[in-house]
Amino acid sequence: MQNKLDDDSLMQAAGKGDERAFNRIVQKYSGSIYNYVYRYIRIEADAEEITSETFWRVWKHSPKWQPDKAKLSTWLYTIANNLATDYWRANKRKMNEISHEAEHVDDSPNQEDKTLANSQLNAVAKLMDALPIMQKQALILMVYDDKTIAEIAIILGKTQGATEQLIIRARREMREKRKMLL
Amino acid sequence: MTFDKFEYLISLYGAKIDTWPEDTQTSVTQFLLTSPAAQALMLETLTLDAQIYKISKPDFALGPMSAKIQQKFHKRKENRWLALLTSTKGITAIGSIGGLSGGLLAFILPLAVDGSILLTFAIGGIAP
Repeated sequence: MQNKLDDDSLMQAAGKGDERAFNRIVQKYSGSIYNYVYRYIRIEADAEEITSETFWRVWKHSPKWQPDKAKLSTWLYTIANNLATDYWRANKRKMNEISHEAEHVDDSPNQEDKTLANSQLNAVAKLMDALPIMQKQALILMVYDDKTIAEIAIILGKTQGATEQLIIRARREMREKRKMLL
Repeated sequence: MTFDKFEYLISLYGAKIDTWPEDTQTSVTQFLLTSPAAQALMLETLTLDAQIYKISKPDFALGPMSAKIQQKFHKRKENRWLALLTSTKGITAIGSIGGLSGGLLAFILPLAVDGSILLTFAIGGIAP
């Protein structure tokens, strides 16, 4: 609750042109927004551009900020998600090639464990990449970003029921395919 | 609680029971104690969620990233003025200002022939 109050007052100040307040918003959220976009599109420079564009739009629209409509973080994720989706649609072929090249590294100290964990992580990453894009997004937002179903529904522009189905299908499919791989 | 209901809930909320609806938490915990199938599914989901978390974890430091994004943002802000000046609107605005200045000069210059009128303009009408 305190977090929301802080965000609301920062946004109100930013809406009046206070750049220091806006910089604090950037400091607070740019990492998580960049991370979300990067996991989606997997190209660092373009993820930076999209993150930068997200904050640019927030700055431009900050005078019209309505705190009662949504949490700031939900709004940020919604903008970033829309931009990343547009980018993904425009570069779909390139995205598919990149997603299969990704390498994931486990940081456990034992070399044998490390090799096994790495191969499992890469297998899970490939399963994630093979999911329909909205299922993948919903799962990342829930597992990594700790978003509630209501928040994910807003970010993805879906109903809560449809969002629930996305998550359930994603987990079931991952579980099934993971069993076949291991 | 049935296994089907448990499977539905764990597929939706994942392995962290404290994030499940409060009214299901007690019955789920009890069900887990008695159902080996539920225990196996819980373990599987725990591993899967941990792996999803791991592959979603950022592999960069958040501090430098924030600075990078801030830099980009401020650069963009500076560029906006340049873009505005070179845009159609900007050129129109510059043209209008130029036109207005030219018009004003064209009006003032012929009057400048008469020094007293020019003085009137310059010092607010107190010249003889």
